[in-house]
Amino acid sequence: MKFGSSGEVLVIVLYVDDLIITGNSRDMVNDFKLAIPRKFSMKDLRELDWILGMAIKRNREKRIMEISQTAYIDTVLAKFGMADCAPVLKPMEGILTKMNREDIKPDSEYMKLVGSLLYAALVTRPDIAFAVQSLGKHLHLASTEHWIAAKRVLRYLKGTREIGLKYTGTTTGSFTLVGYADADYAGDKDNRRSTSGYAFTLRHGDNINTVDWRAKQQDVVVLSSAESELISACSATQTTIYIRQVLVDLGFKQDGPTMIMEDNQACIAMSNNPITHKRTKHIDVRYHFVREKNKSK
Amino acid sequence: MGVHQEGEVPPTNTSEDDDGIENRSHQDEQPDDRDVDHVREDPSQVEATGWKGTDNIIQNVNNMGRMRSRTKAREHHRLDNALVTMGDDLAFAAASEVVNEDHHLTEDESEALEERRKAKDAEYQDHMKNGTWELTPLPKGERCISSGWVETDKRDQNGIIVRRNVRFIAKGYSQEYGYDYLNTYAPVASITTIRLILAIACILDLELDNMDVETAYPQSDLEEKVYVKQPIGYEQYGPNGEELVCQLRKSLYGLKQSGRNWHKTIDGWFRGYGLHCSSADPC
Repeated sequence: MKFGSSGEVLVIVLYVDDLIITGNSRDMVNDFKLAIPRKFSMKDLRELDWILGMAIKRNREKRIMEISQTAYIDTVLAKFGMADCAPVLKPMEGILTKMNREDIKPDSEYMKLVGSLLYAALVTRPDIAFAVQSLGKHLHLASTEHWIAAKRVLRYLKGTREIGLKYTGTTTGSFTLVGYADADYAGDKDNRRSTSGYAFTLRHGDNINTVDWRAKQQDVVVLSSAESELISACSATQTTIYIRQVLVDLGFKQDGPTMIMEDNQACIAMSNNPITHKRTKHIDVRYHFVREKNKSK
Repeated sequence: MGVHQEGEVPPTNTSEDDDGIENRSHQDEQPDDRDVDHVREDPSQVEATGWKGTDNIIQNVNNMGRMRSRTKAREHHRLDNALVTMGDDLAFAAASEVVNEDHHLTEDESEALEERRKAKDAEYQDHMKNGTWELTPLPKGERCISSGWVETDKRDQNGIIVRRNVRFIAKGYSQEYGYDYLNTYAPVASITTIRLILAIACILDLELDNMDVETAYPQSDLEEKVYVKQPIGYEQYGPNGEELVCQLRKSLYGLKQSGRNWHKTIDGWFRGYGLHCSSADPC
């Protein structure tokens, strides 16, 4: 990024050979676009409307931006022969369990399908993030049940192929980063691990813009829901630090501490107050990371 | 948090039923399940045929292809295809790019072939203009990497083919670490950063433009000495009829170090232009 003399800023995002050029000064953007073809042979695609399989629709007067992956979803549906499937309203139903049968072999088609879904879940579809992560746990031993579940996600996408992220803004005020953390306690019936989930939004007035999310199985077995919530608060804290650093680099330093919304009272108490209780004394040291960062806000 | 390129690449469809590279003029209509099962059943088979085949290339550069049976060649091609697609992904990383997906479906296939031939000519001329390589006889004791043509269909947002593209590539999987290349890591923007920038641009009503580098990799210089075979269909011979190979001056698609070289080149230019690099996401 480059900072101009009077508050202008130019930010370039490089993705191998794709450049996103953004800035608050049209002149600076134009200068850059004139300078770079002198060295490299470039194609000017003008307004950003398509990057990495995301279609970007923008209305600058109303400050609305919509990001969707309709074309990508259609490609995936066609690739797996589900182009004319009947849509369903929910991406998953029930909990997938491991099948301990001898005849199940690794199925590369299933892996491809989950991989295709994963890209959608990572890029514009937080709504299928949990469903896809639960499919991903069974990559090596996929049976008919898993295929049905995976196709269910496809059928859900079929019905919702046009939805994606929507960013909105108003003319005044600054934005703040707000995080949400939650956990699904012992949701996995095979190994009784919990699943962490978090989401981050940029809040600008009444506008809430989701910028990051994740659903991930925790890597230890925990003994209480408070503990699982503490672990997901930990992942959220790590991401907070990363996003805040990116914002600092972009010149949008967050003044106050970042709020992470958490609904478990015990977890909130643990991260505020360093009292070892006989029910919490076994909790792994690293989840006290949250407590330390909480103190340093 | 630099994400390695492969991590963020969208899954691309490698068509199962297409040899693609060398014998694209006579394609089988039926999907080639036989080979797929073969590979799946016994992974060591891949070793036995595919990678041994690679050794063959290195040892008997001149006899490559002639020595292998049809089946072996097929499997080799499959490996090629998979690897080549990967290399291509690194370059474009666009979900719109689907390799040879409906190759048999087009009724005007001859037209497609004609387009491909033209694209191939254009690609060859571009390399000539760019000075990507110099023709030399292969020095004694040096190895030569095989090369090939890769065909891709560029699609627009609705999945309609807008352009048929052909690229000359090096088969980077036969490169050896420490000998032909050292580092291959190149950072790319993480998806979180991209979304964050989009959201901020929307909130603050910033300018938002998009540019694309045309044939990015051959625009960066190559430091290592790498020899590749001449493009099939455009071979030239020395004055005494001896075989010549291409000594690369620029990075070629498919080489292991190309992505890194390209990033180094453009990053250097950015720094010269007065841009700073983000510490959290160095892309």
